[in-house]
Amino acid sequence: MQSLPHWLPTKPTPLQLLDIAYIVVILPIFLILKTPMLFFVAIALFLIIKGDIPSTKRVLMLMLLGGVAVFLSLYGSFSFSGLSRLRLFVELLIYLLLIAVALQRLTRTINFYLKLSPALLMALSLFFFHSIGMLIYVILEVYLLLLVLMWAIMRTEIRAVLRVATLFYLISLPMMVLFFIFFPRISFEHATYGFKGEIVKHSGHDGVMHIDNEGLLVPSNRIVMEVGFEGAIPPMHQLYFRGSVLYIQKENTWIPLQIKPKSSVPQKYYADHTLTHYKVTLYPTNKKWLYLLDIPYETTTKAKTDYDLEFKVDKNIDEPILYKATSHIGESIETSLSAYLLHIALAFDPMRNPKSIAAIRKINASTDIPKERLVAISNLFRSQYLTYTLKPDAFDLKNATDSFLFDTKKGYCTHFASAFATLCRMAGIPSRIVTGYRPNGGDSIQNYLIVRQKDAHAWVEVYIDSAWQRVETTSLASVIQDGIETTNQTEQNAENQQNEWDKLSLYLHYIKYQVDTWILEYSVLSQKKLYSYFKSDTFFVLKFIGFFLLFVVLLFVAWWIFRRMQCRPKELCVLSPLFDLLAKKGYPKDPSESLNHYFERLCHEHQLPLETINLLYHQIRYQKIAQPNTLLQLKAEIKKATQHLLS
Amino acid sequence: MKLMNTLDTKFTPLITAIASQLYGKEESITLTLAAFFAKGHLLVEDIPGVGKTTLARALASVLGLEFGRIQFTSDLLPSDILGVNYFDQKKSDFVFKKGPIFTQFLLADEINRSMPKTQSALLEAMEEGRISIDREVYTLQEPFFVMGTQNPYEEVGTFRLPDSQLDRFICALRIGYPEYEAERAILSRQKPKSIDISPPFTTQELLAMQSEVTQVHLSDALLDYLQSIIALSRNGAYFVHGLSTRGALALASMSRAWAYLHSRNYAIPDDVTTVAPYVCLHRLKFTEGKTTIERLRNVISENTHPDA
Repeated sequence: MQSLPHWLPTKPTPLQLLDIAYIVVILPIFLILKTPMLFFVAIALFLIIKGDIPSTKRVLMLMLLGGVAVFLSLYGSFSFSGLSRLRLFVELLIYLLLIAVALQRLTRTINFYLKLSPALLMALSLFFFHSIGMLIYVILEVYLLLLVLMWAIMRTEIRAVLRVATLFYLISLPMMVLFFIFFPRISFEHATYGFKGEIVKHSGHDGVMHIDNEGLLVPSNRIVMEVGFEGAIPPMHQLYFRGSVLYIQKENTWIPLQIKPKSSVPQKYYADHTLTHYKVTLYPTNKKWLYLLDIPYETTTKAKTDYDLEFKVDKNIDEPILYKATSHIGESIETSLSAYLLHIALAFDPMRNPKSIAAIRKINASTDIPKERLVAISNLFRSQYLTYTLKPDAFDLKNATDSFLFDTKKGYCTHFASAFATLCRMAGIPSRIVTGYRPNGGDSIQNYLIVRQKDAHAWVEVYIDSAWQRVETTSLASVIQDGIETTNQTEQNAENQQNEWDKLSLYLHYIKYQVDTWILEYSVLSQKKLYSYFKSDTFFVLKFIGFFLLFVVLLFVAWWIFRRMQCRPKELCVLSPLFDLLAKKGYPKDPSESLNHYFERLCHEHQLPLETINLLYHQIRYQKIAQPNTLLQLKAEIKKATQHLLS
Repeated sequence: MKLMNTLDTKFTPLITAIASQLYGKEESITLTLAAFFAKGHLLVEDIPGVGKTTLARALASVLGLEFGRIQFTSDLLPSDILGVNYFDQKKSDFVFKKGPIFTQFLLADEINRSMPKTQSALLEAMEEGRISIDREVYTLQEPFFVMGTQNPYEEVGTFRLPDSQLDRFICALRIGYPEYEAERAILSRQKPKSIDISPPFTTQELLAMQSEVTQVHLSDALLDYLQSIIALSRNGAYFVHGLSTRGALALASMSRAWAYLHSRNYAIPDDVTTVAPYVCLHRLKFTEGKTTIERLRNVISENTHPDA
């Protein structure tokens, strides 16, 4: 710290300060710029560094270049309907802002907009990053921008600026937190700003299945669970983590049975060598399901299972849990089917999907054997050249199956599964939908596997030959568009982990999860949840306020310590209470006057006995060799003066 | 208990004596004295008739110094200042005839009227403390103090001193018009009083005091403050160019002298703040507007923080 002022001896010019601000805010934006835009920025940077003010003609050329860069960057995704996607819209805004800033910066004159734009760019860049890294960067960014602002305002050395900026930052933190919690979020659900719902539908298993009309499925990278196998990971295409089983189609939602029949758990006798043993770390889902590989055999936790082989615990899972499980990797569950279930597993709404009913009629007429009908349905799917995509077109919600199968022909796993199950039921084959997770294998190292929310999947089980048999319905798609992203997340695989280490990493993941939930994915929904807590639970309100006050107090302590630490030299620290007292008594120190001037002024104008203090202070501070106990004398004199002032 | 900014009692008779000649200009007088004790030379920038000569004469007489005066004109030659070798026919040899520079207190009036060649002859002598003519080196007397004056408003027929030459003056001051009361006193008196004290110090004592000034302590805290002023002059926000290292040294010496005059063996920020505008006056130029003592003082006090 001592050498910092020497390192930065002079105050930078306003333009240099602005440049610093821009460097800070544009760094993350570089990550989202497309190549043509990068090229444009590089040219603009070159011109800015070159330093001379370009002619109007050249500025116009650069502007044109910027336009071309924007066009090329957004080529393909750019259409007026495309603009309703928020991300694209913001991207366009950033590009335009960058061009404007570059052009203005070239003229080397600072105007209001040039000063304002770093804040705008920072705000816009927040739309693109939802990682802890960016969170930390933003916290730092705010501090740096504050520092630059202070630097521009204050005409002093960097040390003082750093100190003031830090103090301001500490003071503003509680406000920032309040702002963060209560600032109105954009509710995409209601498309308030005319943007299509993009955030609402995160992928993930939630116990029911909706067939949505609009909506883009946003693959979420949130980790659901980590699985460690004893031995090698079974082939990826056989890994189906079973979640909930859905029987009832209510309009466009598949839901589980409301009342579970007391059917027995399917018989399970598998030879030992056919069993797979594995360990799962399941992160909080706020649901009751445990996810076990198909076909689940047993697990160590106190989970209840049933006829459907769903494994559920009593309470919602709100903290990470660890369980061991055993499964038989297979695709058919031999069991009986009660008349009640048979009835439900064949139910469909005859008023809907007339085209499908017509198609099934043909199949039914051609054969009586369920297996052959199943093949015929699969063939029907294949003949439609269906496309697997996360961005399906709008459906006719009344006849979702017809619409998907014969009109739009685009959908993701839920659409495939729903349509297939419906058709099977029409053909008299009992069917049910199973939702869960199906990892794509990108996140595995040796025997370690990470399952993320984007791995959520739905498939169909049909009851044929007195067994529930799995049908992978998405494999019926002919075209796969932007389907399963292969992410190269390198997760550390720690073989033979120690127990303590297990716990530690579990907690680290847990902290990460909490940050994810409460900061990065803090949305209008979380806000609503918070408000409902506020309304229903007075204790929660007290707890919230208590924690907030604690936070403020901690900050204040930090601020105080920071101030104390800055309090050097000693003689000034000793004097500071006296200054406070004098200021309170109506004799404040003018910031630009020296202490000597201040003390002498008080002596002259107000007859305060401060001469000795003044002399002692200056002796300590400026004399070559101060007397050993001058500081003690000074303290004594200050005490005297304080008593005098108070009396 | 005495205040930090009270003048040492041994100097008060001096100041009072000079002030009896030059009414209401105590600060200018003290500053001139400080420049003398700092072993520097003083530049007075002012119009004629505000008391430059009076100040010089009075100061020389109270300090008991030999007084010399050169009126600079456009035809003044270096030899008119330094002296000349002439051929003495009786001795049949060249004899050096000392010029008016061989004195202890030299008033160089309107130096900007003479040619650069003559100016630099004087300024080099000031810097070196000796002169050389025809390979002979002549040491000037000690103490040697030059008070140069220049008229800032007249442009015709003057040769502005270049900044590098101005740097050789430790500080500059403008005496300025007297205050209303002081002027009334000047107007109402019948004839100028003569100085009524005998010089209180011998030349040896003056030289001893000059060396004592160099012993005045500048603490780290004070040097921090001093350097903050130097940095301010150089950061380009206010001035065309910053203080040179010679200028920085001048600031340090003047601060020492000022502290010494106020009977301290250590300098405090107020010493620096008081002398800084005078040290900077002829060295710095504001990027916009006139350079005045008041503006310099304001800029320095607003942008630097003593005792921080």
